[in-house]
Amino acid sequence: MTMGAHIVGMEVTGVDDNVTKVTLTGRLDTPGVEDIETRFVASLVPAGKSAIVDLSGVEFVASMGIRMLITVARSLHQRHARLVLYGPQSMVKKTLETVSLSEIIPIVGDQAEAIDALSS
Amino acid sequence: MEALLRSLPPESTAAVSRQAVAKTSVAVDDLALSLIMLEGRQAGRRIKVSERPITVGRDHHVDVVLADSDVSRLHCLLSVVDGSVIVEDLGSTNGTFIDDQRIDRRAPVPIGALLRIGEHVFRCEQCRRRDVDRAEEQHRDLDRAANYVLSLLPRPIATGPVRTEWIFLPSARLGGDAFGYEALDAHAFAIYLIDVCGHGVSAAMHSVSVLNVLRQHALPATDFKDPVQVLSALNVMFQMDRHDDQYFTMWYGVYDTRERTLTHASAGHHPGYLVPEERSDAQPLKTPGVMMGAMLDARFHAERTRVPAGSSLYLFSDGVFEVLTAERQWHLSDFVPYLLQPLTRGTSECRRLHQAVKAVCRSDSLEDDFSLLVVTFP
Repeated sequence: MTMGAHIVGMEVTGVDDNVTKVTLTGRLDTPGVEDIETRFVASLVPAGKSAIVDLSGVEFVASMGIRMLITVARSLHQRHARLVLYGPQSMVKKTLETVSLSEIIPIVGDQAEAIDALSS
Repeated sequence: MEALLRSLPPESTAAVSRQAVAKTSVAVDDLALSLIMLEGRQAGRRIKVSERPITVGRDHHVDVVLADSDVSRLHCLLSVVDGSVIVEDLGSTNGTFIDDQRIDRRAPVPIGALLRIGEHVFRCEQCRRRDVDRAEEQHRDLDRAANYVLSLLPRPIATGPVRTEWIFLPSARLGGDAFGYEALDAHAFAIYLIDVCGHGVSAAMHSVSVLNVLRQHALPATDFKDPVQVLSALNVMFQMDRHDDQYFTMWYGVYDTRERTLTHASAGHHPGYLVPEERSDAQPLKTPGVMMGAMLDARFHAERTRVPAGSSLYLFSDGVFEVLTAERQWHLSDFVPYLLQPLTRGTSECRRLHQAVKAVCRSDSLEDDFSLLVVTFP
Protein backbone atom coordinates (compact mmCIF):
# COMPACT_ATOMS: atom_id res chain seq x y z
CA MET A 1 0.00 0.00 0.00
CA THR A 2 1.24 3.47 -0.73
CA MET A 3 1.84 5.18 2.58
CA GLY A 4 -0.90 7.59 3.42
CA ALA A 5 -3.00 6.77 0.38
CA HIS A 6 -5.98 6.35 2.68
CA ILE A 7 -6.93 3.02 1.19
CA VAL A 8 -9.44 1.17 3.29
CA GLY A 9 -11.38 -1.92 2.40
CA MET A 10 -14.48 -3.62 3.72
CA GLU A 11 -16.03 -6.96 2.90
CA VAL A 12 -19.24 -8.31 4.40
CA THR A 13 -20.00 -12.02 4.52
CA GLY A 14 -22.36 -14.15 6.54
CA VAL A 15 -21.01 -16.67 9.02
CA ASP A 16 -24.49 -18.11 9.49
CA ASP A 17 -28.06 -16.83 9.72
CA ASN A 18 -27.37 -15.10 13.00
CA VAL A 19 -23.86 -13.73 12.61
CA THR A 20 -22.38 -11.28 10.11
CA LYS A 21 -18.67 -11.11 9.45
CA VAL A 22 -16.97 -7.92 8.32
CA THR A 23 -13.39 -7.87 7.14
CA LEU A 24 -11.72 -4.47 7.33
CA THR A 25 -8.39 -3.67 5.68
CA GLY A 26 -6.10 -0.68 5.37
CA ARG A 27 -6.03 2.47 7.44
CA LEU A 28 -8.90 3.33 9.76
CA ASP A 29 -7.90 6.98 9.96
CA THR A 30 -10.22 9.92 9.37
CA PRO A 31 -10.30 9.66 5.54
CA GLY A 32 -10.58 5.87 5.73
CA VAL A 33 -13.50 6.05 8.12
CA GLU A 34 -15.20 8.66 5.94
CA ASP A 35 -14.95 6.15 3.08
CA ILE A 36 -16.56 3.22 4.82
CA GLU A 37 -18.52 4.37 7.86
CA THR A 38 -21.90 4.62 6.15
CA ARG A 39 -21.53 1.15 4.60
CA PHE A 40 -20.18 -0.31 7.84
CA VAL A 41 -23.10 0.98 9.89
CA ALA A 42 -25.67 0.11 7.21
CA SER A 43 -24.32 -3.43 6.91
CA LEU A 44 -24.61 -4.18 10.60
CA VAL A 45 -27.03 -2.01 12.52
CA PRO A 46 -30.35 -2.31 10.65
CA ALA A 47 -30.07 -6.12 10.54
CA GLY A 48 -29.58 -6.15 14.29
CA LYS A 49 -27.58 -9.39 14.09
CA SER A 50 -24.44 -10.02 16.08
CA ALA A 51 -21.25 -9.42 14.14
CA ILE A 52 -17.58 -10.26 14.19
CA VAL A 53 -15.00 -7.93 12.68
CA ASP A 54 -11.72 -9.21 11.28
CA LEU A 55 -9.10 -6.54 11.99
CA SER A 56 -6.07 -8.54 10.84
CA GLY A 57 -5.75 -6.47 7.67
CA VAL A 58 -6.03 -3.13 9.45
CA GLU A 59 -2.66 -1.37 9.56
CA PHE A 60 -3.58 1.68 11.59
CA VAL A 61 -6.54 2.82 13.65
CA ALA A 62 -7.12 6.42 14.72
CA SER A 63 -9.70 7.86 17.07
CA MET A 64 -12.38 8.13 14.37
CA GLY A 65 -11.99 4.42 13.64
CA ILE A 66 -12.44 3.59 17.32
CA ARG A 67 -15.48 5.84 17.43
CA MET A 68 -17.02 3.97 14.46
CA LEU A 69 -16.55 0.62 16.20
CA ILE A 70 -17.99 1.87 19.50
CA THR A 71 -21.00 3.46 17.82
CA VAL A 72 -21.91 0.24 16.06
CA ALA A 73 -21.29 -1.86 19.19
CA ARG A 74 -23.61 0.37 21.19
CA SER A 75 -26.29 0.29 18.49
CA LEU A 76 -26.14 -3.51 18.32
CA HIS A 77 -26.27 -3.72 22.09
CA GLN A 78 -29.53 -1.76 22.03
CA ARG A 79 -30.84 -4.42 19.63
CA HIS A 80 -29.70 -7.22 21.94
CA ALA A 81 -26.88 -8.18 19.58
CA ARG A 82 -23.12 -8.05 20.05
CA LEU A 83 -20.00 -6.97 18.22
CA VAL A 84 -16.69 -8.79 18.66
CA LEU A 85 -13.34 -7.76 17.15
CA TYR A 86 -10.57 -10.20 16.35
CA GLY A 87 -7.04 -10.54 15.04
CA PRO A 88 -5.62 -6.99 15.37
CA GLN A 89 -1.98 -6.51 14.40
CA SER A 90 0.30 -5.68 17.32
CA MET A 91 0.36 -1.87 16.92
CA VAL A 92 -3.39 -1.71 16.33
CA LYS A 93 -3.88 -3.92 19.38
CA LYS A 94 -1.73 -1.54 21.41
CA THR A 95 -3.83 1.44 20.32
CA LEU A 96 -7.04 -0.37 21.26
CA GLU A 97 -5.52 -1.32 24.62
CA THR A 98 -4.56 2.30 25.34
CA VAL A 99 -8.21 3.36 25.20
CA SER A 100 -9.27 0.18 27.05
CA LEU A 101 -11.63 -0.65 24.20
CA SER A 102 -11.91 -4.24 25.37
CA GLU A 103 -13.99 -3.00 28.30
CA ILE A 104 -16.65 -2.10 25.73
CA ILE A 105 -16.06 -4.50 22.85
CA PRO A 106 -14.50 -7.97 23.24
CA ILE A 107 -11.22 -8.28 21.33
CA VAL A 108 -9.96 -11.81 20.70
CA GLY A 109 -7.33 -13.57 18.62
CA ASP A 110 -9.14 -15.35 15.82
CA GLN A 111 -12.50 -16.05 14.21
CA ALA A 112 -13.26 -19.15 16.28
CA GLU A 113 -12.67 -17.21 19.51
CA ALA A 114 -14.81 -14.38 18.17
CA ILE A 115 -17.74 -16.70 17.54
CA ASP A 116 -17.25 -18.22 20.99
CA ALA A 117 -17.23 -14.73 22.51
CA LEU A 118 -20.60 -13.96 20.94
CA SER A 119 -22.23 -16.72 22.91
CA SER A 120 -20.37 -16.16 26.18
CA MET B 1 -21.76 32.82 -16.38
CA GLU B 2 -23.12 32.39 -12.90
CA ALA B 3 -24.59 29.02 -13.84
CA LEU B 4 -21.34 28.07 -15.52
CA LEU B 5 -19.33 28.91 -12.45
CA ARG B 6 -21.74 27.07 -10.22
CA SER B 7 -21.52 23.95 -12.33
CA LEU B 8 -17.74 23.88 -12.39
CA PRO B 9 -15.65 22.24 -9.68
CA PRO B 10 -13.48 24.79 -7.84
CA GLU B 11 -10.37 24.00 -9.83
CA SER B 12 -12.20 24.70 -13.04
CA THR B 13 -12.95 28.22 -12.00
CA ALA B 14 -9.26 28.90 -12.46
CA ALA B 15 -9.67 28.17 -16.12
CA VAL B 16 -12.31 30.79 -16.54
CA SER B 17 -10.29 33.31 -18.43
CA ARG B 18 -11.00 36.95 -18.61
CA GLN B 19 -11.80 36.50 -22.31
CA ALA B 20 -14.48 33.97 -21.42
CA VAL B 21 -15.85 36.38 -18.88
CA ALA B 22 -16.04 39.09 -21.45
CA LYS B 23 -18.36 36.93 -23.57
CA THR B 24 -20.92 36.64 -20.81
CA SER B 25 -23.46 38.99 -19.39
CA VAL B 26 -21.74 38.99 -15.98
CA ALA B 27 -19.79 42.16 -15.47
CA VAL B 28 -16.12 41.78 -14.74
CA ASP B 29 -16.79 43.86 -11.65
CA ASP B 30 -18.73 40.89 -10.24
CA LEU B 31 -15.62 38.74 -10.35
CA ALA B 32 -12.69 38.82 -7.97
CA LEU B 33 -9.22 37.40 -8.02
CA SER B 34 -8.33 35.18 -5.12
CA LEU B 35 -5.86 32.60 -3.91
CA ILE B 36 -7.16 29.33 -2.57
CA MET B 37 -4.88 27.44 -0.22
CA LEU B 38 -4.32 23.89 -1.50
CA GLU B 39 -1.64 22.83 0.98
CA GLY B 40 -1.08 24.15 4.46
CA ARG B 41 -2.74 24.13 7.84
CA GLN B 42 -5.64 26.23 6.57
CA ALA B 43 -6.19 24.29 3.34
CA GLY B 44 -9.40 25.48 1.71
CA ARG B 45 -8.97 29.04 2.93
CA ARG B 46 -9.62 31.60 0.22
CA ILE B 47 -7.83 34.96 0.23
CA LYS B 48 -9.22 37.81 -1.81
CA VAL B 49 -6.61 39.87 -3.61
CA SER B 50 -7.42 43.40 -4.69
CA GLU B 51 -5.70 46.62 -5.67
CA ARG B 52 -4.95 47.24 -1.98
CA PRO B 53 -1.71 45.35 -1.24
CA ILE B 54 -1.82 42.72 1.52
CA THR B 55 1.18 41.45 3.43
CA VAL B 56 1.93 37.75 3.92
CA GLY B 57 4.30 36.27 6.47
CA ARG B 58 4.87 34.52 9.77
CA ASP B 59 4.59 37.64 11.91
CA HIS B 60 1.26 38.14 13.65
CA HIS B 61 0.97 41.71 12.42
CA VAL B 62 0.78 40.87 8.72
CA ASP B 63 -2.54 40.54 6.86
CA VAL B 64 -2.19 36.83 6.07
CA VAL B 65 -0.39 34.93 8.82
CA LEU B 66 1.16 31.60 7.80
CA ALA B 67 2.34 29.53 10.76
CA ASP B 68 5.21 27.97 8.86
CA SER B 69 8.87 28.03 9.87
CA ASP B 70 9.87 28.23 6.17
CA VAL B 71 7.98 31.50 5.81
CA SER B 72 9.77 34.74 6.69
CA ARG B 73 8.20 37.12 9.17
CA LEU B 74 7.39 39.53 6.35
CA HIS B 75 7.57 37.32 3.30
CA CYS B 76 5.75 38.88 0.37
CA LEU B 77 3.17 41.33 -0.83
CA LEU B 78 0.09 40.51 -2.93
CA SER B 79 -1.96 42.93 -4.96
CA VAL B 80 -3.89 43.27 -8.20
CA VAL B 81 -2.30 45.46 -10.85
CA ASP B 82 -3.91 45.87 -14.27
CA GLY B 83 -6.22 42.93 -13.65
CA SER B 84 -3.53 40.44 -12.59
CA VAL B 85 -2.38 39.19 -9.22
CA ILE B 86 1.15 40.41 -8.58
CA VAL B 87 3.39 38.88 -5.93
CA GLU B 88 6.38 40.81 -4.64
CA ASP B 89 8.96 38.94 -2.56
CA LEU B 90 10.14 41.14 0.29
CA GLY B 91 13.59 39.57 0.60
CA SER B 92 12.37 36.30 2.13
CA THR B 93 14.93 33.70 3.18
CA ASN B 94 13.38 30.74 1.39
CA GLY B 95 11.87 32.50 -1.58
CA THR B 96 8.53 32.69 -3.33
CA PHE B 97 7.69 30.32 -6.17
CA ILE B 98 5.26 30.38 -9.08
CA ASP B 99 4.78 26.97 -10.69
CA ASP B 100 7.99 25.79 -9.00
CA GLN B 101 10.07 28.70 -10.38
CA ARG B 102 11.57 31.01 -7.78
CA ILE B 103 10.69 34.58 -8.64
CA ASP B 104 13.29 37.31 -8.75
CA ARG B 105 11.42 39.99 -6.90
CA ARG B 106 8.10 40.75 -8.51
CA ALA B 107 6.03 38.62 -10.85
CA PRO B 108 2.45 38.13 -12.03
CA VAL B 109 0.57 35.04 -10.83
CA PRO B 110 -1.53 33.86 -13.79
CA ILE B 111 -4.98 32.41 -13.17
CA GLY B 112 -4.52 28.70 -12.52
CA ALA B 113 -0.86 29.07 -11.50
CA LEU B 114 0.43 27.66 -8.22
CA LEU B 115 2.03 30.04 -5.77
CA ARG B 116 4.22 28.46 -3.10
CA ILE B 117 5.25 30.27 0.06
CA GLY B 118 7.14 27.98 2.45
CA GLU B 119 5.10 24.79 2.71
CA HIS B 120 1.91 26.61 1.74
CA VAL B 121 0.62 26.24 -1.81
CA PHE B 122 -2.06 28.47 -3.31
CA ARG B 123 -3.81 28.47 -6.67
CA CYS B 124 -4.79 31.73 -8.29
CA GLU B 125 -8.47 31.74 -9.21
CA GLN B 126 -11.08 34.09 -10.48
CA CYS B 127 -14.47 33.62 -8.85
CA ARG B 128 -17.67 35.46 -8.20
CA ARG B 129 -16.95 38.30 -5.82
CA ARG B 130 -19.76 37.33 -3.47
CA ASP B 131 -18.41 33.77 -3.20
CA VAL B 132 -15.02 35.12 -2.27
CA ASP B 133 -16.57 37.51 0.24
CA ARG B 134 -18.61 34.67 1.76
CA ALA B 135 -15.52 32.46 2.04
CA GLU B 136 -13.65 35.26 3.74
CA GLU B 137 -16.50 35.79 6.17
CA GLN B 138 -16.52 32.08 7.02
CA HIS B 139 -12.79 32.26 7.55
CA ARG B 140 -13.21 35.22 9.89
CA ASP B 141 -15.88 33.30 11.84
CA LEU B 142 -13.55 30.34 12.22
CA ASP B 143 -10.76 32.69 13.23
CA ARG B 144 -12.96 34.17 15.94
CA ALA B 145 -13.85 30.67 17.14
CA ALA B 146 -10.18 29.62 17.11
CA ASN B 147 -9.25 32.75 19.07
CA TYR B 148 -11.96 31.91 21.60
CA VAL B 149 -10.48 28.42 22.08
CA LEU B 150 -7.01 29.93 22.47
CA SER B 151 -8.35 32.40 25.03
CA LEU B 152 -9.44 29.48 27.21
CA LEU B 153 -5.94 28.03 27.39
CA PRO B 154 -3.89 29.17 30.38
CA ARG B 155 -0.87 31.42 30.06
CA PRO B 156 2.55 29.78 30.32
CA ILE B 157 4.08 30.03 33.80
CA ALA B 158 7.74 31.07 33.93
CA THR B 159 8.37 31.26 37.69
CA GLY B 160 7.39 29.43 40.87
CA PRO B 161 7.22 25.78 41.93
CA VAL B 162 5.43 24.72 38.73
CA ARG B 163 6.46 26.06 35.30
CA THR B 164 4.66 25.45 32.07
CA GLU B 165 5.02 25.91 28.36
CA TRP B 166 2.87 24.59 25.52
CA ILE B 167 2.22 24.44 21.83
CA PHE B 168 -1.28 24.19 20.40
CA LEU B 169 -1.63 23.70 16.65
CA PRO B 170 -5.06 22.55 15.46
CA SER B 171 -4.87 20.65 12.18
CA ALA B 172 -7.81 22.53 10.72
CA ARG B 173 -8.85 25.98 11.93
CA LEU B 174 -10.29 24.26 14.99
CA GLY B 175 -9.29 21.08 16.74
CA GLY B 176 -10.46 18.70 19.41
CA ASP B 177 -7.56 19.09 21.81
CA ALA B 178 -7.58 21.21 24.93
CA PHE B 179 -5.59 21.41 28.13
CA GLY B 180 -5.39 23.41 31.29
CA TYR B 181 -3.77 23.81 34.66
CA GLU B 182 -4.48 25.82 37.78
CA ALA B 183 -3.60 26.10 41.45
CA LEU B 184 -6.42 24.49 43.44
CA ASP B 185 -5.01 25.85 46.69
CA ALA B 186 -1.61 26.84 48.10
CA HIS B 187 -0.21 23.33 47.66
CA ALA B 188 -2.26 21.56 44.99
CA PHE B 189 -1.83 22.21 41.29
CA ALA B 190 -4.13 20.50 38.76
CA ILE B 191 -2.91 19.64 35.24
CA TYR B 192 -5.00 18.05 32.47
CA LEU B 193 -5.21 17.39 28.76
CA ILE B 194 -8.18 16.19 26.72
CA ASP B 195 -8.31 14.88 23.16
CA VAL B 196 -11.72 14.63 21.50
CA CYS B 197 -11.95 12.04 18.72
CA GLY B 198 -11.56 13.61 15.29
CA HIS B 199 -11.00 17.29 14.66
CA GLY B 200 -12.80 20.26 13.19
CA VAL B 201 -15.66 22.35 14.45
CA SER B 202 -17.71 19.67 16.23
CA ALA B 203 -14.66 18.27 18.03
CA ALA B 204 -13.66 21.80 19.05
CA MET B 205 -17.14 22.54 20.41
CA HIS B 206 -17.00 19.38 22.47
CA SER B 207 -13.52 20.09 23.84
CA VAL B 208 -14.56 23.65 24.73
CA SER B 209 -17.59 22.31 26.63
CA VAL B 210 -15.39 19.99 28.65
CA LEU B 211 -12.76 22.65 29.19
CA ASN B 212 -15.31 25.15 30.49
CA VAL B 213 -16.72 22.59 32.92
CA LEU B 214 -13.21 22.05 34.27
CA ARG B 215 -12.36 25.74 34.41
CA GLN B 216 -15.58 26.58 36.24
CA HIS B 217 -15.36 23.51 38.52
CA ALA B 218 -18.89 22.78 37.33
CA LEU B 219 -18.97 19.15 38.40
CA PRO B 220 -21.43 18.37 41.18
CA ALA B 221 -20.02 17.12 44.48
CA THR B 222 -16.55 16.66 43.06
CA ASP B 223 -13.23 17.21 44.79
CA PHE B 224 -10.93 18.54 42.06
CA LYS B 225 -7.92 17.29 44.01
CA ASP B 226 -9.14 13.76 43.39
CA PRO B 227 -8.47 12.67 39.77
CA VAL B 228 -10.80 9.67 40.02
CA GLN B 229 -13.69 11.86 41.13
CA VAL B 230 -13.05 14.33 38.31
CA LEU B 231 -12.87 11.65 35.60
CA SER B 232 -15.90 9.80 36.95
CA ALA B 233 -18.04 12.94 37.05
CA LEU B 234 -16.98 14.06 33.57
CA ASN B 235 -17.69 10.60 32.21
CA VAL B 236 -21.25 10.73 33.48
CA MET B 237 -21.75 14.26 32.18
CA PHE B 238 -20.37 13.62 28.69
CA GLN B 239 -21.87 10.29 27.64
CA MET B 240 -21.49 9.72 23.89
CA ASP B 241 -25.17 9.14 23.20
CA ARG B 242 -25.96 12.63 24.44
CA HIS B 243 -23.02 14.28 22.66
CA ASP B 244 -23.21 13.32 18.99
CA ASP B 245 -21.37 10.03 19.55
CA GLN B 246 -18.19 11.86 20.47
CA TYR B 247 -15.80 10.53 23.05
CA PHE B 248 -12.59 11.96 24.40
CA THR B 249 -9.51 10.70 26.14
CA MET B 250 -8.05 12.50 29.11
CA TRP B 251 -5.14 12.66 31.51
CA TYR B 252 -5.67 14.45 34.83
CA GLY B 253 -3.15 14.93 37.60
CA VAL B 254 -2.73 16.94 40.80
CA TYR B 255 0.74 17.97 41.96
CA ASP B 256 1.33 18.39 45.69
CA THR B 257 4.02 21.03 46.06
CA ARG B 258 4.84 20.02 49.67
CA GLU B 259 5.06 16.30 49.12
CA ARG B 260 6.47 16.61 45.58
CA THR B 261 4.03 13.97 44.40
CA LEU B 262 1.80 13.78 41.38
CA THR B 263 -1.50 11.92 41.75
CA HIS B 264 -2.85 11.11 38.31
CA ALA B 265 -5.49 9.10 36.47
CA SER B 266 -6.11 8.30 32.81
CA ALA B 267 -9.24 7.85 30.73
CA GLY B 268 -8.16 6.05 27.58
CA HIS B 269 -5.28 8.44 27.07
CA HIS B 270 -1.74 7.31 26.30
CA PRO B 271 0.78 7.97 29.08
CA GLY B 272 2.14 11.29 30.14
CA TYR B 273 5.89 11.04 30.67
CA LEU B 274 7.97 12.23 33.59
CA VAL B 275 11.54 12.96 32.55
CA PRO B 276 14.19 13.68 35.20
CA GLU B 277 16.52 16.62 34.83
CA GLU B 278 19.39 14.38 33.70
CA ARG B 279 17.05 12.99 30.98
CA SER B 280 18.00 9.42 31.75
CA ASP B 281 14.55 7.90 31.21
CA ALA B 282 10.94 8.74 30.45
CA GLN B 283 8.65 7.31 33.11
CA PRO B 284 5.19 6.57 31.68
CA LEU B 285 2.35 7.83 33.83
CA LYS B 286 -0.86 6.03 32.94
CA THR B 287 -3.53 4.18 34.80
CA PRO B 288 -6.17 1.79 33.42
CA GLY B 289 -9.37 3.47 32.32
CA VAL B 290 -11.69 3.53 29.35
CA MET B 291 -12.17 6.64 27.22
CA MET B 292 -14.68 9.21 28.42
CA GLY B 293 -18.30 8.89 27.42
CA ALA B 294 -18.30 5.32 26.19
CA MET B 295 -19.42 3.53 29.38
CA LEU B 296 -21.69 5.03 32.00
CA ASP B 297 -20.30 2.89 34.80
CA ALA B 298 -16.64 3.18 33.81
CA ARG B 299 -14.18 2.94 36.68
CA PHE B 300 -10.99 4.95 36.88
CA HIS B 301 -7.88 4.48 38.97
CA ALA B 302 -5.32 6.87 40.39
CA GLU B 303 -1.63 6.44 41.13
CA ARG B 304 0.78 8.62 43.04
CA THR B 305 4.26 9.29 41.68
CA ARG B 306 7.24 10.95 43.33
CA VAL B 307 8.46 13.98 41.34
CA PRO B 308 12.23 14.57 41.52
CA ALA B 309 13.46 18.18 41.55
CA GLY B 310 14.04 19.49 38.05
CA SER B 311 11.95 16.87 36.31
CA SER B 312 9.43 17.65 33.58
CA LEU B 313 6.04 16.19 32.75
CA TYR B 314 5.15 15.83 29.06
CA LEU B 315 1.47 15.62 28.12
CA PHE B 316 0.42 15.51 24.49
CA SER B 317 -2.32 14.54 22.06
CA ASP B 318 -2.03 11.57 19.71
CA GLY B 319 -1.53 13.95 16.79
CA VAL B 320 2.00 14.51 18.09
CA PHE B 321 3.12 10.98 17.26
CA GLU B 322 0.54 9.48 14.87
CA VAL B 323 2.35 10.77 11.80
CA LEU B 324 3.65 9.20 8.63
CA THR B 325 7.33 9.30 7.80
CA ALA B 326 8.48 8.61 4.25
CA GLU B 327 8.71 4.91 5.11
CA ARG B 328 6.08 4.09 7.67
CA GLN B 329 3.49 4.96 10.28
CA TRP B 330 4.96 6.39 13.46
CA HIS B 331 3.72 5.26 16.87
CA LEU B 332 4.11 6.47 20.43
CA SER B 333 7.26 4.39 20.92
CA ASP B 334 8.89 6.27 18.03
CA PHE B 335 8.26 9.64 19.68
CA VAL B 336 9.23 8.91 23.28
CA PRO B 337 13.02 8.77 22.65
CA TYR B 338 12.85 12.37 21.48
CA LEU B 339 11.79 13.36 24.99
CA LEU B 340 15.20 12.27 26.25
CA GLN B 341 17.22 14.35 23.85
CA PRO B 342 18.99 17.37 25.33
CA LEU B 343 17.23 20.71 25.49
CA THR B 344 18.14 23.15 22.74
CA ARG B 345 19.48 26.48 23.92
CA GLY B 346 17.35 29.35 22.68
CA THR B 347 14.46 27.15 21.64
CA SER B 348 11.51 26.24 23.82
CA GLU B 349 11.13 22.56 24.59
CA CYS B 350 7.76 22.45 22.82
CA ARG B 351 9.19 24.01 19.71
CA ARG B 352 12.17 21.64 19.78
CA LEU B 353 9.84 18.65 19.80
CA HIS B 354 7.52 20.09 17.17
CA GLN B 355 10.47 20.71 14.88
CA ALA B 356 11.77 17.20 15.54
CA VAL B 357 8.45 15.65 14.52
CA LYS B 358 8.15 17.92 11.51
CA ALA B 359 11.64 16.91 10.43
CA VAL B 360 10.82 13.20 10.30
CA CYS B 361 7.26 13.24 9.01
CA ARG B 362 6.04 13.82 5.50
CA SER B 363 4.98 17.36 4.78
CA ASP B 364 1.33 16.33 4.39
CA SER B 365 1.37 14.07 7.40
CA LEU B 366 0.65 16.37 10.35
CA GLU B 367 -3.04 15.79 9.79
CA ASP B 368 -4.21 15.77 13.37
CA ASP B 369 -4.08 18.40 16.08
CA PHE B 370 -0.65 18.90 17.64
CA SER B 371 -0.91 19.77 21.32
CA LEU B 372 2.00 19.44 23.72
CA LEU B 373 2.21 20.64 27.30
CA VAL B 374 5.46 20.57 29.26
CA VAL B 375 5.27 21.11 33.01
CA THR B 376 8.55 21.50 34.88
CA PHE B 377 8.93 21.06 38.65
CA PRO B 378 12.12 22.93 39.72
